[in-house]
Amino acid sequence: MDLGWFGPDGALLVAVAIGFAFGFALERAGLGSARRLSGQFFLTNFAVFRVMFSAVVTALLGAFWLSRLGLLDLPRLYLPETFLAPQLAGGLIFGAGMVLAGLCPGTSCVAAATGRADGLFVMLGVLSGVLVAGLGFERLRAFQESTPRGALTLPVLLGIPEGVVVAGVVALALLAFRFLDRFERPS
Amino acid sequence: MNVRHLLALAAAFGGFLAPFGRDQAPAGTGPALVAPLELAGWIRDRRPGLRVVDLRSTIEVRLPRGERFVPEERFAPQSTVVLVSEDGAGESQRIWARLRAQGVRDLRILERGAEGWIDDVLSPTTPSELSRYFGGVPRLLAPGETAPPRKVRAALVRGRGC
Repeated sequence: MDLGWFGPDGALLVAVAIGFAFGFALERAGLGSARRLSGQFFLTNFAVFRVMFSAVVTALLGAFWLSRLGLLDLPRLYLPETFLAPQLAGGLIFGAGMVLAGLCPGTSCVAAATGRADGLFVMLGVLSGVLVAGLGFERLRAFQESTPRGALTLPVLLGIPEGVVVAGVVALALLAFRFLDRFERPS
Repeated sequence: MNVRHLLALAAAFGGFLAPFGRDQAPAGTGPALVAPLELAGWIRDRRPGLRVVDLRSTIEVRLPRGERFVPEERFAPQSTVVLVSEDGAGESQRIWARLRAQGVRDLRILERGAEGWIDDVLSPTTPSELSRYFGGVPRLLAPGETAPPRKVRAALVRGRGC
């Protein structure tokens, strides 16, 4: 694997630093609270939408303009492959678990770190799930590798230039934020 | 105007200018090329994840680290795949689109194909360290003389290289 300037040890340190920064940002955004996360599913609180869509727009604009300025080689970034059926199933299981627990794996770590017992129990559940899936992986392998579609991106899928996709996503985000500012009920 | 408004303005500015940003080659448009000498450098330096896939039906001059194309094989998305055809056109364009759909992101076509490798690495008009590394012998042309036909040069350099 090509790790660029950092090398294997530096990349590990950077990963830890990014992890801490991610956790800090989630906590500061209030996403360590199961009540707030559940509000997204009941359409009473849109903090998750705002935080995650802001992160998407930031990463999108950052990656796009850094590559255009010659500071980032986009093709060298890892792009996960799409496997339709297993990812649909995984998404449904993940979503159901998130509604039930009110937390996702990342926010459960944040909640546990801030002393919330529900966060700790969700973390234990996540780790147990990982262990069980790992033990039964050979049985799941055929399903996991089914319906491959390659590393899809919106520009390739839609056949339009990357810049137009970036502009479209940013416009969508700004319109959505504006709409929520006007019509979201104060929680 | 608060920080939120400033950030929104910056995002709107970046998004508005995005369609005018210079498009990169792998953005779903045409295949990216790699020059023969650049590929020679990658092979010599053992570039991680490099796969040199030879699409030719008859291989007269073998490329170092070259491997036959196996249609059923799936390449790791993070590998660098260089497709080699006789002249850099035809078959390589079709296979490029196919591997692209598989998700290989860093996908190149060797510029001028195997002929380019012979011209620039094995039988160059200008000597270079890379060419020597692969056993290349400079082609000496008398003033006004043109290069010998490709078939003849291919025969001259057959069997050389790693």
